Amino acid sequence: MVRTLVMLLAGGRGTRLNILAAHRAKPAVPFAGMYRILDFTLSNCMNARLGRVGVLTQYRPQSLVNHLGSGEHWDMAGKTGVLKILPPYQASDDFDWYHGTADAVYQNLNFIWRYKPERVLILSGDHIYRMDYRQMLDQHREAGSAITIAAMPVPWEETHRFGIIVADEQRRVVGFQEKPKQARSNLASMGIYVFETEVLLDELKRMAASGGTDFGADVIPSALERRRIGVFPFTGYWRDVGTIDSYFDANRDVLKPDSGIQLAQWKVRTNLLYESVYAMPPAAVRPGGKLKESLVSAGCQVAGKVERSILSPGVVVEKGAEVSDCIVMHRAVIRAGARVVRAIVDKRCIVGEGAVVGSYETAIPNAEFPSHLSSGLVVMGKAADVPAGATVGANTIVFPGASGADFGDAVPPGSTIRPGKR
Amino acid sequence: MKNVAAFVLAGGRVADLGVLTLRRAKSALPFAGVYRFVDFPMSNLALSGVDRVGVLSQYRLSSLMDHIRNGASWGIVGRKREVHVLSPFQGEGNVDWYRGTADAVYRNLNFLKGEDRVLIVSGDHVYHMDYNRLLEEHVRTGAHLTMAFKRFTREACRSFGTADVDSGGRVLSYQEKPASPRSDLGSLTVYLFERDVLEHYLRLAMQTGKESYHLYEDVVPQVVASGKVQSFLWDGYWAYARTVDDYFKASMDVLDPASGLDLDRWEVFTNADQAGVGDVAPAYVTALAGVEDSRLSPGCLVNGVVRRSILSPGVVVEEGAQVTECVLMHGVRVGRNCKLHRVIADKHVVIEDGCQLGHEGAAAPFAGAPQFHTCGAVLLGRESRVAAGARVGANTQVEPAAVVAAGSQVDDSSLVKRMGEEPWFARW
Repeated sequence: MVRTLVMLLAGGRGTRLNILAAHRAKPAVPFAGMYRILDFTLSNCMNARLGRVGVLTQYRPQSLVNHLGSGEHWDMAGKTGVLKILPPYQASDDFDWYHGTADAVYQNLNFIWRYKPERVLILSGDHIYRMDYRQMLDQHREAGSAITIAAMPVPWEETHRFGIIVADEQRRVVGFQEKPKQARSNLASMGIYVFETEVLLDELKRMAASGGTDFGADVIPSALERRRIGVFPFTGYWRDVGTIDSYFDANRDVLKPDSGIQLAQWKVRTNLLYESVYAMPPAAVRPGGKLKESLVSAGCQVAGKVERSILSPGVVVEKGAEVSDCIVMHRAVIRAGARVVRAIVDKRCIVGEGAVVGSYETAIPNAEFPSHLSSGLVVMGKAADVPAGATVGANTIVFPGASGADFGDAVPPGSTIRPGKR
Repeated sequence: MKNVAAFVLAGGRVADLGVLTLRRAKSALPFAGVYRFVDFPMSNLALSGVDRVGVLSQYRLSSLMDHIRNGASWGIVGRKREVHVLSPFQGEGNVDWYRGTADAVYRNLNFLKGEDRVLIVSGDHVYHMDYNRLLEEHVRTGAHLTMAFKRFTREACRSFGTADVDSGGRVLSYQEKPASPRSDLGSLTVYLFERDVLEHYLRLAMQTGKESYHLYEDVVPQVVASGKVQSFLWDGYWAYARTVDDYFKASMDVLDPASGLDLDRWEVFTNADQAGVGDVAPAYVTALAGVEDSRLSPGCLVNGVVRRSILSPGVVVEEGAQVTECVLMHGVRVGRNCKLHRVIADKHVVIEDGCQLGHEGAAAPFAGAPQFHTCGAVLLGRESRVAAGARVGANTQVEPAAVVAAGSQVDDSSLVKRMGEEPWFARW
């Protein structure tokens, strides 16, 4: 009998990540060079020896499906493990797309019945953190709770963005406010739930009967009336990398020794088969190449200068090129003499010879997406190709595949470049 | 490559690599950061499209088996694609260890299924070859055996098999490691045999009743005598790290794409889990560090200055340390303010703060192998420890698990022996 089954919600759209999440689900967005955001949650499961996981997908799941493979990279294969992708499906009961977190789990009750677990751990694949779920499960068991919610303190001014938990000294939830205007506590739900299986089944049935769809908005407030709900406090590093700025900052936290992210100690694991990282040689720093305060992955070739940056596998920085304060993803090429500053450069982009991308200016926000991009970063979508000698101002968004004439002579700050539009 | 099965000769243990191969098959020796020598022929076989590979070995098999596993790392896995490590076995007639390469192949002929041809390659050479080119030559000339050669100096040919060939590339005669080579063609131990020819000559060899049987001695010269052997001339990069000096030179070639050893163009596959890159983060170079003309594997932490060096996964170089022309294998730690010049450190060596290892001055060859270890390198055996403030001269070797005492001085050309009991990794 399975003691704990994991249901991992990985359907997130990540709209505010703009073009970074346009062609992939948010959990599949690359992070810290060789990882994807979802790797952190999967590795937490692996390190807690939770080997049976259902992954609920919805938005553009192809890259996720490729990345997850058979689950063997996180010890979720073999006789005692399973990593099952659970996409939306149609059935005789007229199911539809997933309408919310709880609805997604509800539509996959057959997966839960099949394994008959004692309890179900519900996780989200959107966050960067390290948690030992075993401690949470222990507390849940010892307290005899029906439901346990992981929660962490957040600044009071941000409480309106979260599900807020009011708890007593016995770590028992006595009140719950979903995205309150006036919060009674600053303890925020992390969207991590342990349910006794029969409690989950019962509460989901009630939710479906009343037309609810979401754990935070519907299931938890309703269950609080009749269930013992515990809270598991968490105080470590945790980031929702849902915006371009929070994504950039969390990546850069990896370069700071005291930020709280500790990739080595966290034992984060990824799928090296995908993107053929396993077949890449150690990173080469060529004569004249310089590397400082940076993360450099396998297969990189650095003949230029790289500082305060993160290079994913297979990135090439040619002679005389300068890369400062950047996140450069798989197999992107920065040609000779180019200068790239404060930019997020997606996979297989090319920055042409002598081109200048980004600056330390922040004055003019992106005209089309001012709420997504105003911190001065340049975001280049997959396989965009900046022509030689071009300049691209701060707060510019370059859509995937833009190239050549799309850029004109000089791209002013705050622009949005689309392929074939100029 | 249709109808071709391959054997990889991975059994050899050589003494001339000093403490690096004291307890290790040469094909399993780490090279270029994340690889082992056997990855190079294995990757060539994968890229050439060979579907069935038998790896012949009997020395310290367990680490080789862990590394090769089912061949998935090289993509040679599937319904009719497989890699097997073929260890010695006992049967009704066979009760012995492999007695040479020819014996090893002979005793594993039943690994062959329907294949008409057999490719036999060495497991410890560094090169990037599409064996299909050899096959084309073989088919074009209708040879019984086609073998690869490269031009070396005649002097160098004394340590190879050499051959005289006619203008059409047909091999006229073959000598193994001749004292005075008559040719500048050295054999690369890449043999493509017609299967029935191989079986015929192996059987003949087995009837001679010798103590051991080698392909280069008991099979190849005999097939040459039949006049049906073709040469395939290779002009690409090829290295055979037989000695400490060879190993150091090949390692420096890794840093120089002009040498022909271009890892960024070759596709070399390894078993990432065994190579230690499965569980580690990308290499991290701090604000204090300087890295130039080097290779950094995943999991390295560089806080000092690294030049012209190769770092395997998990190497740590602390603040103030200077590492020049070094090969540091998995998990080596270099303490603060150490100065390392031409150090080859095996896995998990610890060098404590303030040590000085190697130097740029002239030094007599290592006394234990004066022909083979002259490049100045300091060889630190697996899990050895150099305690704080020690100074170690050039052309020296430190045995696995040995300790160089704090503040002590090790003279040029000398050997540091292990004092305690055999380390755990040497017992089995």
